[in-house]
Amino acid sequence: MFYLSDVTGKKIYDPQGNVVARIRDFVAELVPAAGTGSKEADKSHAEGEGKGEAEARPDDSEVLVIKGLVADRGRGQKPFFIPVEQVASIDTGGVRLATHKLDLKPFEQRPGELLLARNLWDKQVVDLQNHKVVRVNDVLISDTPLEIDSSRQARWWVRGVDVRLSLSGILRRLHLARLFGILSPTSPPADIVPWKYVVMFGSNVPGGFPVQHSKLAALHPVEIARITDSVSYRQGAEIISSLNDTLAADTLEEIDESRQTDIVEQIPDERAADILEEMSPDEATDLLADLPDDKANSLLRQMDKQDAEEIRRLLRYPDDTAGGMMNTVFVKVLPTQTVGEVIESNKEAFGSADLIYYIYVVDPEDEQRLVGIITVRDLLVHDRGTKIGDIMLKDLIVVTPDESQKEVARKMAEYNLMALPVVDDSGRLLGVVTADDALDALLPEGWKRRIPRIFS
Amino acid sequence: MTEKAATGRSEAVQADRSDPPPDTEAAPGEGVAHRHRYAPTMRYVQAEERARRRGLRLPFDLLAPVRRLGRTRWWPYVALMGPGIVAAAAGDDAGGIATYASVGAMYGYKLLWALLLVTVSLVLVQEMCARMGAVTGKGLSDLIREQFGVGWTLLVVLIVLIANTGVTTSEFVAVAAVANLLGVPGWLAVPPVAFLIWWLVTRGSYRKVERVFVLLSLALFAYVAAAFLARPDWGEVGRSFVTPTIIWEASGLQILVALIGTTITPYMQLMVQSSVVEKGVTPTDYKYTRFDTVFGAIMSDVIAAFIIIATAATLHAQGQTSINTAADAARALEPVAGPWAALLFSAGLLGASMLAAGVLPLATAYSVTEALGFEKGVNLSFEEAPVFMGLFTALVIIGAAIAMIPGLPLFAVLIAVQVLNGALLPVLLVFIVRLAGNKEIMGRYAIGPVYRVFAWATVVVITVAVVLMFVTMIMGT
Repeated sequence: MFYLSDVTGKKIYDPQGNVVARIRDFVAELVPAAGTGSKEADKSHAEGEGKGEAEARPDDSEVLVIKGLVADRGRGQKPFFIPVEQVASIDTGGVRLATHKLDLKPFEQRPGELLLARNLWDKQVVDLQNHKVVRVNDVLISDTPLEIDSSRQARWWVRGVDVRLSLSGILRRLHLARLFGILSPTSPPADIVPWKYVVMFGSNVPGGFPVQHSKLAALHPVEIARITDSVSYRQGAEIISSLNDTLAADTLEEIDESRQTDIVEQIPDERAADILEEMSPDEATDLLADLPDDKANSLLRQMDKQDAEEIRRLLRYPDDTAGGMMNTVFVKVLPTQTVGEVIESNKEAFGSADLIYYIYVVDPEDEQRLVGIITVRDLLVHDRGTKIGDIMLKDLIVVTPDESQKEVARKMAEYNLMALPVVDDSGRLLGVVTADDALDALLPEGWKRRIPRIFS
Repeated sequence: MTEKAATGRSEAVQADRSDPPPDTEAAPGEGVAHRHRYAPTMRYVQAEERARRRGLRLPFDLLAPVRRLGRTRWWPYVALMGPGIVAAAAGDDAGGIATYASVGAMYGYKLLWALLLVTVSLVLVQEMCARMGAVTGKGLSDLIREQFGVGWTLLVVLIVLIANTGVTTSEFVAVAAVANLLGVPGWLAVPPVAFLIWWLVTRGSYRKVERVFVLLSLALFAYVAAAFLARPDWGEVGRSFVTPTIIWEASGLQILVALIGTTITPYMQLMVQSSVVEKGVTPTDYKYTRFDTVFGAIMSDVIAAFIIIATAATLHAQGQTSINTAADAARALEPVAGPWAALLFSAGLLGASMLAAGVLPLATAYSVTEALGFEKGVNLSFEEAPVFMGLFTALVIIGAAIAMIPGLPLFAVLIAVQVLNGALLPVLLVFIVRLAGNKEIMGRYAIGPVYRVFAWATVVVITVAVVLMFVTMIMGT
């Protein structure tokens, strides 16, 4: 077991002990491992993570295996590739080759190849254990052979990354470790992040690299959003585009509005439209309203007709009014229905609407007109045969679409409500404003902002 | 909560019986006192109260009409100019005022040509940083770490730490100078001010009082008036801008390096890039940021030029060719403020130094922890982010402690810090120019060949000035 910085710059010897070149970098690639894993892999579980969830994670299946190394022949000469099969040993003293025959063709990084020093050192990666973005200070390489499947064995593979900048780590990186008597570790240090918990950014690798973003899907959208907040908007877009549409939408909703637009601008229109369709209409509207007009229009054109229509309607209201905040997905019933019918016939709506505590009762003749409200509590306490018209509340607290966010919040506070129906002058139900949206108007700036501003 | 809801319900049911709702056809929610039956108790009222106490706020948004016109092409630029001018005035910190005042007092208009060249360099350097921020979405120390590795990053961190400790110190030195001017000993005034700043920043309330300091710093506009009222020979002023004169002596080259160092401060470059990142500027809307950056840089040097002209036309013309105390510098404002000159100067200097003293240690701690990968953020506690909070606190304490040394030649320290800034600047510039021209990170936004020539010329000229300064200093002793 050794750190990458322990061996870079060290000499490469041929079988006779003559110096051929120096180690510049290691080439690694992801290799799918057999499901069971070897003893070595099992052991690393136990060391890396005491909790039971380690085994529950699905991403043990890939190992980052060293494929070869990039050798430096000194000034003026292009570095070349030495496949791992030609290497007899690697240790802090250098590399000993098993052959004299070397292919001195200049090295070129192919897609799917990762250069450990060039693409990982000092780059940001996501640490899934702590849900944080961290910087790689060093890479820990294991020299215990690992069985990949029945026929293949990995002699050297990446065990994990060191993300805590320590004095010994700095000295090692500056090639001063030997001066200070710092040795390579014999067992993985406690603060090494095992490779299976590392999600790197594909943008770090110019040639492209299959980044296992699927690992991120195990996190809560809020956690993914926090991770997205702490990287550049480009990397944020990379994260969002790697998630499936639903998760991408949920995550995007948790991201600061000003950053949302930066991220969406980086995502190809077609994909962005798919994600927008999955967002709740009010959130999607807010996002589109902040985008440049041509971009917003292009996205709307690519979206599902119905969703786009909904958003176009919502876009007419300024975003700090009830109309701009309202959600258009809610549960709507008729006064002639019974409690039982409402429960049975609205299963899908109950599953998809943001807020289902209030159920809006509309006029059977004009299904746009709001006539009453019942709550989920009503459904639970009344007999299934009870007519909705008999139990609904008829004197309603409503807001008009042009009422300000402040006014909406004040009404909610005054009447202690979780949501308010938005109704136009003729009594037609347009949408529902929920407390979480109105709350933003009342919270002091400092509470809302997740990333403190220091420089601007 | 359940109890309340339950009682609320029974009350409501009673009310329903005694007073049945009148006409359901009436427009809903009109006037009548409604009480909803199933009220979840949410504490919005308190939240609103807190929000109301949030502090000063203009009753209407002054810029709103301007912003509404923002859809036309040229309005956004005009809209940016106002804040740009204010930021330019506020951006001159204590060291800048001291340096420009000294330049004017020592050599009259002779160094105005240097200011013109420095302005061009400043525009180039800040534009590169702003551009990098918009294109990569990353801070300068982030980029240096990713492109040049740990070793070079440590060098940059060291430079930033030294330079910024110096500048932080200079802000507290300015506080001491203001105190002296008002008849209060420095050791008495500095500790409470330092504690106040530390407390405001760690409590997260610095932003709220910031505008007070901005207002104070606007007193520096008095230099513009003073420059006109002093009736300088404008012909000579104009000629000085285009006649390069190098003063071949240690003090002349020192003040030249100080002029460079205070105008193109190392920390400002980090700040410019980080603020562009924080604002979420992308290449799409970069043109406004570029205008803002360039205009801001030019405006801040216009103010600098007026400080030089004002001091040259008053102090230098009257034969006072050195500034040793704040009182000396304040005299340049006499044409405009008469006996109130000292007070006006105090307000401007205090505002400027407080602005920088609040932001600088914080920004330093942020950049350093960012580069090295420690936990960062003001909303974290000491236990959560020991390096960040420790660094911030240490900077404030060190700066304040040095400023409290009795008998410290305050103005000499202010200038010395700017000389140090100028000497460290070339190292940082090399990284900036190399990064801005790197196609791998900047893509098609990398600076072009002509731009690169000018950028490198800036680096070379500044380096030569610094080397010359050291040579004359060594030969002088």
